[in-house]
Amino acid sequence: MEEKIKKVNLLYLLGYIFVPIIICALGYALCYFCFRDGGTGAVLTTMVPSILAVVWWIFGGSLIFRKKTKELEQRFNAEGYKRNQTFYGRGKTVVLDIEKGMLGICFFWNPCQTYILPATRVEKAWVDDGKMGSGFMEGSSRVSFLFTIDGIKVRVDTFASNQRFRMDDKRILTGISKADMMVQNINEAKAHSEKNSTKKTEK
Amino acid sequence: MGIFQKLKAALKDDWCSGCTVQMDEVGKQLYALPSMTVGHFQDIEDPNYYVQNLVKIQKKAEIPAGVYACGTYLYHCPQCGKTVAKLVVFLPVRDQEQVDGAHLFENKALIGFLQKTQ
Repeated sequence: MEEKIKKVNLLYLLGYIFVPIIICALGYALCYFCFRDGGTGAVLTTMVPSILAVVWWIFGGSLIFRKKTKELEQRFNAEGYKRNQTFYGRGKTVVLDIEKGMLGICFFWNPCQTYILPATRVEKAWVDDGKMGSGFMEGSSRVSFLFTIDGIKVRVDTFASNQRFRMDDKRILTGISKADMMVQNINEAKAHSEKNSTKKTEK
Repeated sequence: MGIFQKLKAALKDDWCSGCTVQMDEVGKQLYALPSMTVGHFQDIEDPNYYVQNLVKIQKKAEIPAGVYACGTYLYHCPQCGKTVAKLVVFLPVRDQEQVDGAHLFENKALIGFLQKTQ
């Protein structure tokens, strides 16, 4: 049975949010019981965990994700695949070996598991240009490419903003072009993967 | 010579700067630039780069998604005989074009390459 991909590791997500809160709460409790008069002990038990928690929430996730992305790339190379295309999306990294039809993926909220799968498991890949509004209000604030693996939809943004831009804006066109390219490469990898698997079964 | 002609020669690419007359368009061709992909655009001014990397194509649909294209125009001055190549580097996105750079070259190697591949 093939392993199903998991976009979010709930334990990691909850730990990421609540472990620093618990450590801060323990620090405050320690300060309350042991350093009620203030001083260095009070500063160490209240300020330090609070600052560390904020630093962790801001940088911790990105650092782990970046490290795991590097590990995925190394694993991909070590398994004998060539990285024809690597897309570093927001919260997702997609690696493709087009000739051998393999796809590697790493998720921000599930960095403990990186996946290297045959592209045949991709059921569908498409582009969402995020077009909305009409007339002079027509535009987009997000362009992404999407694909489904074992029925699970994965969305990777190629452009995202809190503003809406016209459809002929340079940023939107670049986003669409990147998404089109990725979809084309995924489909190509899928076709190669299917060809490789039929060759194997014939043998 | 009129000031407008001088102005046109200074501002328009298809006007000869020396003779201040409109040049004839003697060639036009579309090329793909596979060495340049979306997100990795570089405004290269070295004509040899284009000689080495331009790949002739017949229509825009032949260009894979995310690959830059280059529209080339050859102009010839009927008075002084000068030939100029205009290169427009753009990213084709579906039915639109995102122009990222344009250059005028008088480089003989590039002009020769473009004339040969017309």
